Amino acid sequence: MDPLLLGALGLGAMFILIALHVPIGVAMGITGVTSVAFIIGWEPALTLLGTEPSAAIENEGLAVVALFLLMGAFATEAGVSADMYRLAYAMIGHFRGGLAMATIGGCAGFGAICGSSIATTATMAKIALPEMLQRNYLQTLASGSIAAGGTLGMLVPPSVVMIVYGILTEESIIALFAAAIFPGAIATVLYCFTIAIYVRLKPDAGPAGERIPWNEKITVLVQSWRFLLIAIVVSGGIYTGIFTITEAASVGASLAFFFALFNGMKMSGFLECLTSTASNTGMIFVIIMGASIFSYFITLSGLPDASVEFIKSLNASNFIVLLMMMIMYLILGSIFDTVAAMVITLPFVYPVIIDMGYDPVWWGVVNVMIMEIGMITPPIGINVFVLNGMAKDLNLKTIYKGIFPFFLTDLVRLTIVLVFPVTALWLPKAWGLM
Amino acid sequence: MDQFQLRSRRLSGYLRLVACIGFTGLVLVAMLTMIDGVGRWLTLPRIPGFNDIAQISYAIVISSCFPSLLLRDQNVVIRFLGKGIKGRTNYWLEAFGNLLTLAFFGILVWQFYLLTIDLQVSNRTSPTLEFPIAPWWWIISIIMTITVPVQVLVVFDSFYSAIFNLPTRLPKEESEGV
Repeated sequence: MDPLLLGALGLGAMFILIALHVPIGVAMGITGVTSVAFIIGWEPALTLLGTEPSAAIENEGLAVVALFLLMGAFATEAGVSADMYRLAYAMIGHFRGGLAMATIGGCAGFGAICGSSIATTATMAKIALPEMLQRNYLQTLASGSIAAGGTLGMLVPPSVVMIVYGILTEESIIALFAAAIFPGAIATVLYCFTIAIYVRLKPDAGPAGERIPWNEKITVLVQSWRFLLIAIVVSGGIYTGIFTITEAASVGASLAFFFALFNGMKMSGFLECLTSTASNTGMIFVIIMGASIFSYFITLSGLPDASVEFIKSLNASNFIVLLMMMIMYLILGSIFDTVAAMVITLPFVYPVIIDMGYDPVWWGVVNVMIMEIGMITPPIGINVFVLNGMAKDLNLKTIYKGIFPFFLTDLVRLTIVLVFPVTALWLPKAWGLM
Repeated sequence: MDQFQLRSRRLSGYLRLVACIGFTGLVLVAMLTMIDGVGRWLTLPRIPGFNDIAQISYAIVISSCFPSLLLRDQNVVIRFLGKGIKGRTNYWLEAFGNLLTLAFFGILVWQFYLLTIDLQVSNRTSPTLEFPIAPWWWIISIIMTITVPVQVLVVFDSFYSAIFNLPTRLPKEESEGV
């Protein structure tokens, strides 16, 4: 059979299996092995189920994912996320909509020590939502700021999704982290700006909190030393080259563990941290194991080259191609898990991006940003469901209504990074990372 | 709660324990990595051959999370179709997904043993400390082997659900994701 046809059939079979409730990683793995068997025979195909997964589980780069998830779990247990929220509230809580802005600040800060959007949303829903509702914030603004702010967890480095992107594409993870700093900052500022406009149009949506005197602000700042220490040591360690990423993640996880311990973490809390880290790590690794087998098959089939040729034959401008890809990712991001959406498409999207002359680091940031938007886009929008699951009083319609202004803001910032790639690439270039 | 539910809950507890032991190892490796990294920065003596230890530890840690993952149904599954159909067909879809998961992990475990035997025969050692790798891969393979009977149980339960049109009796819990 023509390998190209087999490639297309394999891709179709994978999507059918996924639709038939087969776990995504398993669907990719089984389709990959079966299709490779058609090309080079069963014996070498079956060995892929030994070599690829074993390479994945002993890969130090991928172990970083587990370490960052562990850091986030211990940091939450230590109450570091609450520290960040208090700090952000002390600084900007006295503005109209200040609590919602503090939530965005808290999300960005927690993203800097967590790396997961869903964990950020879940954590902030616990801390910020009761505060906002207690102070008579509109449910739409409160829920919108948490669900949208939560997506910053995936963009603000360290980001688990970017680590996976970096490993699968063999791009520098540090360069990807550096490239995400400005877009993350732009997102934070634009979200706050959106809230400011929102409360100007609807003054009762987010009443102003009391102004906190400067001496108290400084006290809160000092009390937030744990967050500041973790963020400075991890990010500073990575960007200054003092630590490798694995070392920085290990230092962050160890610091967060000690903070949780000194915060009175009980054995049940410790086990809960380990269990949640284990389940999220396992979930990601099954996808990665399946993806590595599937990528092998896709490469073998020649589908990446064919997709490049196909795009060329369309004679479409780069802008149109990018637009098509973004629509595809928006749909995938709203249905699939983010890691899954990325790894399924990378084998044939990445060669097209390279062929069009785009910078892969820039694309990594753009890719994550699009999937962030997918996380708050109907019909699924996983962040919306996380929030809904944690606050049953908030119905989905209210949350989606609250998200809408932030969705528009997301499109604006995506356009900024698309039109001005320098927003992502300046920092890694200035630091000599690329 | 019947005997099956009681036993599966107890099994879930044991599998969580396996994952917790593995990830306690990750906490220890993180601390050692921190000591090693800070030591390098301060030009203090490093832990000899630490990379060898870390690499094999990561593999053991990661393998420890799969048995619990399978029993608690924490894989990423898109349940669009089932939500639209509902009823018994949904249970059959679950059974199908679980059956293929069993095939995936069954072959994976088989291949892990072949890989381990290969490491044993070729007497492969770690790059720096030169300790034999095979014993550690036997541990990994044994941990991974647990996934097979666990998934057999999951398949049995999902077929039972489909045949008798009953919800699962296993302690399921969807993962958070990233």
